[in-house]
Amino acid sequence: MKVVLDTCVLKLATLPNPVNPAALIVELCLAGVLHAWASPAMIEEYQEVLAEHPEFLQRIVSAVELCYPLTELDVIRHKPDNRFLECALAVPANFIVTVNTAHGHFDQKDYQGVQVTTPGGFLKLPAVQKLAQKYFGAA
Amino acid sequence: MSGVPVSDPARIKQSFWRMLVSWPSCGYLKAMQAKAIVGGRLVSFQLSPELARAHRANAGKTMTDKEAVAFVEKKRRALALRRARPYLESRS
Repeated sequence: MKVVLDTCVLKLATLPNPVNPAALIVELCLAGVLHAWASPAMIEEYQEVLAEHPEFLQRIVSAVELCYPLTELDVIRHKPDNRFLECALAVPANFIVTVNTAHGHFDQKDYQGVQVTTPGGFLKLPAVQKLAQKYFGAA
Repeated sequence: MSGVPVSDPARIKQSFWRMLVSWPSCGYLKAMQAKAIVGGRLVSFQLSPELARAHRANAGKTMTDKEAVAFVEKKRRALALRRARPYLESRS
């Protein structure tokens, strides 16, 4: 399953919240259970936001598969979010995982076959539950 | 009381290792766990060393989804301003 992780999901994964679906999604990506994709523009943003955690940044950058989108989109009103959509459509990814579903951001549930979901919603999907169970079984 | 003398080197060695393992700071080396709800069940999972280190660095901090979005937006703005600085300086 191919996913594009929004930067805020990575930020949430680094925090010791009592219930942390973002951390589990990141762990599934690091374990290779999910295939996370990123573009150079996304990695630049990851570097900016995760500067306080260089080891985690290095690990996530080495775990993601790199994509070079050839088109520049202007679909989402908030411009920086378009970089994530460009990557997701170029791959093409199954999901964009984000917590930013407010108006003017990822406010649609589907962008030409790429579904937008929150970390909590993503873990509710039967296919993801199966993958997670396989991961827990192996761990 | 057992018949093994206190000065027995094997026993000293054993008690030394027991002391080391129970030393409070050894908890730092233990694998860190996090929790998430998968399929309606609260599951506990082990964090990778890099993510565990980030969790230790952020110990005591929590963030809501909105706060995380605001944090990322602040960083995006800082990055955009840094990129625009040469242009802004050339205009002033």
